[in-house]
Amino acid sequence: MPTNQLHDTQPNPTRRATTTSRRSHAAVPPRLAIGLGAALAVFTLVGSVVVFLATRDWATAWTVTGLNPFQPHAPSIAGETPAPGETIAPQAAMTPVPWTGAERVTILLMGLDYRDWVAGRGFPRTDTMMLVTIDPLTRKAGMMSIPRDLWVEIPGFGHQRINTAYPSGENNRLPDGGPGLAMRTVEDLLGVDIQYYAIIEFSAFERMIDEIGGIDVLVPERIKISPIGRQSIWLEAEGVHLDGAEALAYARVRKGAGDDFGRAERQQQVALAVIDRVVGFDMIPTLVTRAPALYAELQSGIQTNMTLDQMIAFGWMAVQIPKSDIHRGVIGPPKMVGFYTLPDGQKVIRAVPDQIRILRDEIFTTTSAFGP
Amino acid sequence: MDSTRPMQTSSAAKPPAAPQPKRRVPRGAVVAGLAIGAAWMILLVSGLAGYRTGVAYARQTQAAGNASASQQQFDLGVADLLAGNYDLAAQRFEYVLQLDPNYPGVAELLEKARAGLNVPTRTPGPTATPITPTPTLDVASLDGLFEQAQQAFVAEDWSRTLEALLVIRSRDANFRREESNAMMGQALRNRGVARILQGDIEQGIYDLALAERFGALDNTAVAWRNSGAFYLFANSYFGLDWLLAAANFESLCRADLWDSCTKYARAAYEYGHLLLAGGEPCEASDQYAISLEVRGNPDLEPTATHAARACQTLMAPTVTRTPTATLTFGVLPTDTDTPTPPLIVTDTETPTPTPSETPTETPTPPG
Repeated sequence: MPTNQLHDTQPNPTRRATTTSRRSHAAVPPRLAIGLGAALAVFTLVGSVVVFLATRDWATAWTVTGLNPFQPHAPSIAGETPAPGETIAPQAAMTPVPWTGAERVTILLMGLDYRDWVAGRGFPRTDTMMLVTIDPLTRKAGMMSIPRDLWVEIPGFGHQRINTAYPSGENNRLPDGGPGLAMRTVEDLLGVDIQYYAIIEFSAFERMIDEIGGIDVLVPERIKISPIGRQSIWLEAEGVHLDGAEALAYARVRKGAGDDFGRAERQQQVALAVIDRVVGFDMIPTLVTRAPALYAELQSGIQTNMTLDQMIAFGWMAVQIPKSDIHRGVIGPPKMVGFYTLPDGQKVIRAVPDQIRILRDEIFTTTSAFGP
Repeated sequence: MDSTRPMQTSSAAKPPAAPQPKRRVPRGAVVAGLAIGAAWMILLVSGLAGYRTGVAYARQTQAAGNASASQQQFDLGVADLLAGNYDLAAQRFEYVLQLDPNYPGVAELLEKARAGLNVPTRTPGPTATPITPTPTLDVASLDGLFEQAQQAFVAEDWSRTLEALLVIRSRDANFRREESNAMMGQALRNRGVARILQGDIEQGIYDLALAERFGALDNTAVAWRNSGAFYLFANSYFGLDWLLAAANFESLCRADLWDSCTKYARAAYEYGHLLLAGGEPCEASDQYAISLEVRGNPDLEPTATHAARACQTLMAPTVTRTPTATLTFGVLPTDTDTPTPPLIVTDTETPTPTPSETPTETPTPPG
């Protein structure tokens, strides 16, 4: 083989370096390099500002609320009359309560009176009060409904109907607002510690029911319901499937004056139907996955001192409890209440403490982890 | 012919193999890498700075908010105290103490509010109930938890005792079961009595119901439970049936339990108003007299005088009536469906609502 051929196959390193250098210069011309550098500098500058602001806001929200870091602050609307369907944020926020995972969890569920919103009477009275309790150790749960016209002593406000506790706390700017006063009033009535509350607005309730694909209930007797924004319909005495709007109407309907007790029964029936649906259709994994998105969507319609994690944990516990271990009761006639008319004509209900205590003990005491 | 052969055979003639040049990273790439690295560093530092600023800002906001809330609730509390709304005032002062245990003057005002409620202060003395955050339980080991429960028991911190025992039970239901049961029952009993004494009556009764699951209650606890239940029974008529409310609160007022005298006085004069409106000035006058005797009330005196004069006018032609309390409370009219609760005490000694009556004997924790 000729020598020059050999030299051609083994290029001179010096020559190669020169070639590479030339190529390099050819790939990134100085102007382009300067342009890229400038772009990187601008990107860094803008990016650092964005990152700074984002982390600052995130850290602020996280530290102030102690809740989900992505939860925005509830708007302060003190002194304003909310529009129908709008949930009122408490004036003095209650701080989230930590939970060790061992002690009983008791939540006061409240629904606000739609008519007060419509009439623009300021902070509305509670239309519904239901105590939900779960004992993680004994794996037993309970539901107890409290009639809104119950005559009780509200701490600091004397004897009133129990449904005025919430607006009294809000109007008088109590430290923990209306929810706190409502919780204390129920604690004084029943003697049990209540750690959490949730006020669920109509649209959020409807949306939750729709999210699980509606519920199935066994209607005990023919009843007429009026879903919001729709024509009234009759439900026959049979098993029916209800969507969100219908389920809300079914839970709210009163068959006649003084039908608060029947209504409370229907509300508990709806609550159990929700559990049935979630468990029966194995929706837990989907719901847990969707929980953050759902929470973000529904949080304007739910006022609570529970964190998202707590809600998921409590919901998880609830659906694992067999229905036979869910004790329920309604404070109602014939033994637990007496009916009175005030001098101004208002009808109220007197609580009979000894009898209510029997129901309380059935739901709370005998199912408690505090036992031998 | 194999084309490689000549090369192999002529290898001796080849020039010495040049050393492989080190692969040099182009300068442009180095500069670009450094620039990108620097950019990332800047972003990271910005993130950290943002986080720290956010936390500092939040704490500052929180502190400012707390200070503002404390001030607002303090002012509202003073207004409530002056207006005689002791319960509301106490709620507000407790909240202020929670936010700032050293807030000037609030402890004394809380004591005054509680005194107005006739509720014994939990810690007698110039400083009223500073609410200090309890350290969280160390849950590392069951033995450690049990020790903490024992310490809390000795310190008469019943809630913390129960909290620790419950955590133990959640982790090992059989861990020192008998000792846990003994401590749990006793802690519930003591917390129940303490709660009843400080006015959280139904809460105390509930604790005693739980304590009873561990064994029969002692006479003192039973006596307090009965007194509390009777108070709540009387209270359920307040505002609905003034006669029954007055009749029931009278018994409780004799023992000066909780705010029963205030309620008795109110129930008596409200019943008096009903009698007066119903054309029975003499009976009304009697009720006013009772009310004024139990709790002085300058606002009521003109009405009482008016009723007494009306009564004199009514009775003048026949007989002069002495304004004595004639309402008899021997047999109480009750709802047919509501049994009258037993009156106050089943024990031989009547418990009095003084702080010294709180479970003085601290049972020794087992173990």
